[in-house]
Order: sequence, then C-alpha cells, then structure tokens
Amino acid sequence: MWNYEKRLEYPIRIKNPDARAAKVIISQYGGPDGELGASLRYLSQRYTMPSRQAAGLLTDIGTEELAHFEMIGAMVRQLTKGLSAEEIQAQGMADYFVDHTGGIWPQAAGGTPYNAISFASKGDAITDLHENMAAEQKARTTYDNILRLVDDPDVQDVIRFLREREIVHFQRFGEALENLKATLDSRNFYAFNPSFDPGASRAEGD
Amino acid sequence: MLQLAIASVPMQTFRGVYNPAEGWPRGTIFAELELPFTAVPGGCPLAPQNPPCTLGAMQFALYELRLFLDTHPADEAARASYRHLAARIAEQLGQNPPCMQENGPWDWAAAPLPWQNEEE
Repeated sequence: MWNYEKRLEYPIRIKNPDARAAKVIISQYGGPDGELGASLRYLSQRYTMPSRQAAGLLTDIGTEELAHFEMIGAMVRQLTKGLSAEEIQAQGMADYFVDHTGGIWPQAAGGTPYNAISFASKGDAITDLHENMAAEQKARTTYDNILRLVDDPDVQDVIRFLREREIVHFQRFGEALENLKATLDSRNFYAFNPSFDPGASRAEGD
Repeated sequence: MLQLAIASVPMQTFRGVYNPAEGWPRGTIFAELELPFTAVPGGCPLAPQNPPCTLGAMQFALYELRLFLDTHPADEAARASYRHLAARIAEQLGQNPPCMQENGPWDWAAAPLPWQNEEE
C-alpha cells in the first residue's frame, strides 16, 4: 500500500524555461533507463526475492524511484511552463508539443513511448540483482549525459542529486547480492535458482 | 570473499555521516559514496556554507539511513542514528517521539510481506 507525502525528495526551483533541456530530461521520465522503469523493475522483482530483507530493499528503492519519477515530471513541467507554441517549436520540441501540448507523458528523448521491455524481472534473485546494478549504472550515465547537455545551474543541482542516488542504489543492490550469496553454497552459486527451486531440491547445507 | 563469475561489491561500513543539511545537496549522507561527475563543469555540487537543517534535509537523511539498514539490519550505529534522527523529525513536526523500540521499518524479517499468505 502506498501513501503520498506532499513534498519533493529534493527541491526543484527552475527559474528559466528551456524546452531543449526538457526534451532530453524527459528520457528519465519514460525512457529505457529512466525512473519509471526503475520503479516498475524493483517493485515487480520483489515478489520473488528469497529473503524478506531483499524484498524490503526493493520495495524501499522502488518507492524512492517513484519519487524520482515525480521529480523528473516536475522538472519537465517547470522547463516548459509558460512557453508559447512558437518558443517550443524554436527550441526543438514541436513534435512532442503537437501530441501533448504542455502535458507530461512518459517517453524517451527520441520519442519512443515508455516500454516495459526496458527492464527484466527474471524470477531469479541473482539475475535480478545484477540487472538492478546494471540499471543503476545506465541511469547514472544518462544523468552524466544530461549534465553535459544542460548547463542551467538550477537544473544541474537536481540532476547531480538524482545521479548520486543511482550510485547509492548500486551500492545497496551490490550489498543485497552479498547478503544473498551468504545464504548459498559458494562452490557453485548457480546450482539452482534461489527464487524458484524449493528447499528440498537445493544443495545440502542450504 | 571474491569468487569467479559473479559480481562482488564490498559491504559499506557505517562511519560518520554528513549532517542532513550537507548531505542533501550531495545526494547522499555518506562521504565514501560521494562520487561526482568531474568531467563537466557542472559535475560538482556547489557546497553552500552552513546550510540550514531543514525538515526536508532530515527526511532525506532518514531515508538514506533506512536504505543502509535494509542491507545492514543489525548495524547498531546506524540504528542509533536512525532513531535519533526520527526523534528530531518528530519534534519538528510536533508529533510524539517515536517508540525507541529495537526495530524499525528496515526490519523486514520480522513479519511476512503483505502478499505472503503463508510463512515464507
């Protein structure tokens, strides 16, 4: 069950609209390595985690990603609010505007609609945790790229925050993998699927 | 211990943390995880001098501690930090201080997740 806290995880006060920046930042709203995908990935994977702690971590990080999804939406809104259609067109966002006006819609910067194909929920805790570590790295690189493309300090302040969260999440998923490995036979971590094979068919010593 | 053919990330040890006001613009309260993108001019946070410790900063710091405790549920120093910060937040919100019980929201092992009908 989810509640909503009426606050942003980090404040966003963008003084200067800029549709060019909005166009690339929207990739973290609905793009392949964006916050919506991250949230759905973790909230979907948690059901098959073998330990409650791992399920809890995925719940907490998945929830935080929803807060990030909100932040990206807020940024795109602040970056486009008040611009005229002519300004939006001049700043290169006419193809988005025609379908959504000033509305916020989950797509990648290139226009591909949000697609669940961007994440895996493989039903194997070892695989899923590696997927998550890779996902956090991809998100970090995307934020690196946004920092290259956008130089407004109000925007960079928020992007730096979101980028650092990816690094912290990577560390936590790595730790969850270590905690999982500690419950498995180190002679062969891949002997069975810890999310699927029942206790009876596992190696002795489980 | 490192093994072949599987990723390994060292477990973070709980040392000192940034105070919430300093950690918030950095995106973490853990100095050892602060790894900025120095390849571009905007990569490093402009550290404000003596930033005010707002409720938002403390709420962020609390969530950071919660994530740490999700993977280190038995860490006494982190638990103490969490409880102390939760008490400060409660005070700021004019709420009763939280029960200083042993466990908190990170203690997922204590009860089944809501979708688990049997004892999983």
